[in-house]
Amino acid sequence: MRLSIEQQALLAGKQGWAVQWAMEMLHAVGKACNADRLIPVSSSHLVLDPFAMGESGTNIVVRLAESGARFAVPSTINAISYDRCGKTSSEPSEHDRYQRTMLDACVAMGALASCSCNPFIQGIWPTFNESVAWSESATAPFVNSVIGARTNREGATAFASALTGLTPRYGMHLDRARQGQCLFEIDATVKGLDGYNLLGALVARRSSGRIPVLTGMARPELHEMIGFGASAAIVSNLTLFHMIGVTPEAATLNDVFPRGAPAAERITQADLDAERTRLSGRKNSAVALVSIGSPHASLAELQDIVSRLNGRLVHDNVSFLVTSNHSVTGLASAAGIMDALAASGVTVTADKMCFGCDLGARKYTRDTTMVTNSVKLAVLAPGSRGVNVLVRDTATCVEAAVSGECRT
Amino acid sequence: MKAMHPLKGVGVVGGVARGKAMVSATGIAFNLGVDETTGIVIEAGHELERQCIAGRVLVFPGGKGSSAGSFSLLQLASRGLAPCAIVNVQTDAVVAAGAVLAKVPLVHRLVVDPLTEIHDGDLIEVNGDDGTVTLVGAV
Repeated sequence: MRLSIEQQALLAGKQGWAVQWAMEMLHAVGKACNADRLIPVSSSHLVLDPFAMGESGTNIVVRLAESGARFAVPSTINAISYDRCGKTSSEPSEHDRYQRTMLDACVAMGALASCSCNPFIQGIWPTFNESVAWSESATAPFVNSVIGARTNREGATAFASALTGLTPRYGMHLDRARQGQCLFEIDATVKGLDGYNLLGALVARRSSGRIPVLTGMARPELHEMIGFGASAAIVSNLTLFHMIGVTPEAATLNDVFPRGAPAAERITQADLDAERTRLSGRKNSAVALVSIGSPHASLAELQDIVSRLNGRLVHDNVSFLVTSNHSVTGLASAAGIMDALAASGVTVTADKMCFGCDLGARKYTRDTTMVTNSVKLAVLAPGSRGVNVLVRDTATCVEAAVSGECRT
Repeated sequence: MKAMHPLKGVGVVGGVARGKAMVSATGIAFNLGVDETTGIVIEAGHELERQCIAGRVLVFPGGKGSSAGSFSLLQLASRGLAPCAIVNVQTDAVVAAGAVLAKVPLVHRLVVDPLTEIHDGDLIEVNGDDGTVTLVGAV
């Protein structure tokens, strides 16, 4: 790991404590990952997780801001612990206070308080071949695979990159680390957000850390690609996938397998059905919770829910929760979609993460059945909320919300 | 580990620390795998489950799980519950960044396999500055 004379000076503290703090982290990570040098990044996406960061993490972020540090590149913020729609029902928790303090400190350092785990539906995109430093595991597969920009799975290092505009050159930033390592032939009709979520989880698990290449697929819609990557990232460390004829670095098999493609493993409808069963809890017809929006729901998803509800009311026994961000809810308000959802009794929150925090006033138990189209929620909610989860398509989610039952 | 002379590896985070080894053949997820308020491993089925990592020289293959793990290591350190040093087979960005934040010396890529050469309870000195690990006293 070679540092330029100027970078060595930053590491020695020439530009103050904050940049030195950042350089120490980048230097160690570079050595750990066999990077040869630091390269520029053009943006950073920061996770301010109040649970993982706690009081000590909050204090560091505040100290960075108070030292006068400013982010060197445009930096955006991940989903936060509370709803910014203004309808907070309860007193802010200790974690909400950490969250607010960290958010304020990052804004003081120049970050955009975008507050979403799905920056892609906010128009926040890097461009092809651009190196960036983005945290939130669900963003990395989309940045690398669908856009063809380059990021490793960042954590605390995203702060270091935001403060310096640098990242160690390893992993996803190297051409040779972006080739395919296993091949899947999709012999099934993959449909809807839930279908691509299940495929993402199945492919990620079967890849066992290798870079998967998928062939035989129809072109997924934007939110389905986002769901595929987020689902793969919650069950594995996957940061890159290729879909032949769909994603930009994989026009042909030869592009991703220059030394010849390996034998393809088939994925059938039966495999996808088995994955649905694996990721779902026990069947239970009485539904208390329907949750959509992990990652944050797009405008198209909100529109789809309104059209499927068609003016019908959510059942008295059901909470129908949709998590999204202000970019979407702002447009949805102007388009009359928020009023239609409110009239049907759907709760839409903005900027809040979908789990690990308040899911509403009701108490949930192992007997509470939640229906969702998101594998990420199916993996996280049983642990964080103690609920029984069923993974179903959007149509079934909406019907369960109206009837209070899920019989399929 | 029979030899008393230092084993050479690669120092990732500097500093010198001495403590009793705790060895795990399985990767460690500091976020959600270890309770930040007690230092006890809580990952179900993990070989260190219910053991406290505070003050030990933690020897394991490398990190796994969420990239939020770096900050979890900082939380452990702020409560005095972090390992006193870390020896990895091959470390990764999450553990390396976490060791910087927590000021825990970190060495990896030893000339021998630390998982077989170092035993639970061995008294070990880790020098992150010159990248060496020394057995001070065997169990």
